[in-house]
Amino acid sequence: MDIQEIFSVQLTRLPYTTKFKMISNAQAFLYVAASVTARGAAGLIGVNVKIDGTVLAASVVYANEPASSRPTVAMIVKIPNPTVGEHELTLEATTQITMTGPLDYACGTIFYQGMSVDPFIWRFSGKVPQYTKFKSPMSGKAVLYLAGSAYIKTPQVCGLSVVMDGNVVAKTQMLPGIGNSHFALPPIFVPVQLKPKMYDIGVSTTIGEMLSDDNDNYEIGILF
Amino acid sequence: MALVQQLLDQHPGPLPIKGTFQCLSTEVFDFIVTGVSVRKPNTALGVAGVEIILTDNTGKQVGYTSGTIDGTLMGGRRAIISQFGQTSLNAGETYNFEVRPVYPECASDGKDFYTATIIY
Repeated sequence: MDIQEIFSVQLTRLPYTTKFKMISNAQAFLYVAASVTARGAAGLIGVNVKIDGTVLAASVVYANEPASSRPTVAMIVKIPNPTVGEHELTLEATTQITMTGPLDYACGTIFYQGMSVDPFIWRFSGKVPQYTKFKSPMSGKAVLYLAGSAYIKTPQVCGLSVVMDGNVVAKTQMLPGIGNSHFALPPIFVPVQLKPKMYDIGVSTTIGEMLSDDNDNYEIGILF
Repeated sequence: MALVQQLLDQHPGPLPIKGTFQCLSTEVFDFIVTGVSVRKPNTALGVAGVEIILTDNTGKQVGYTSGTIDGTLMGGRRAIISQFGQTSLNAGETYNFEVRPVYPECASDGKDFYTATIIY
């Protein structure tokens, strides 16, 4: 898999625009991670990710505390019609209360998928656990990606796990600082061993006290 | 299929965390460390973060990347915004890695978890 770093910046204002050159016509997937700050009110904050003027997806998180920097739920999205040459990427505020604080950051990376099979990418929101089906086209190792948000009444170590056929195959954990406040967990890229078969795959919590609602969103990706 | 190698899998702090790995390919590879960070109490406001340094058997740095975030103590630990790093090494050779705070003012303890991965 070819990987290309296209930007890594201190995000001092939105919109942020940068040029980059794609190095292949192969299927390409953009990974974006960012942090932003809520302006004066609680609510959803984040960045819309545009390439060549087209919005591909939004990386968001619910911010309970105004004027506090929050990492958004990182995202991977397919780049439509990838072509070698120069392109333009823009990050713009998803909501009116989204702003940049003194120490917000963003980075973007392109994964070029040399194989003809599409990766599995499932993005959803709401309460977890949630499950779906995934058909692996082959056997061997793949890269499993997980990102998501949640909240908890009383801060304690908690996390999200990826469950495949009833087995936890990956997890991300942290100790949130504030109770009853949504937070994005660290995204993870980890190896996963696959067989050519259909899997039940989903996201669950590592402890029962962890809560989630329609303001939380998640993404699982499997890159071959 | 992907050639992927895990250096740390939800490894608890405190930082630094040191280890070794055997490089699997001479191809250029990318690597990333994810986790959380925050500034220690009674330190100036500023950035917090985590970095990973790859070194060879002479101690020479052969790879580096990091993740950063607003380290304001109020609000607690936050997930860092991690960028991939890129390097190429010799297949079959053993290298060292160290995951550590980007600044001495950054806190970490056993309730922080770090994941580091190489994708070839």
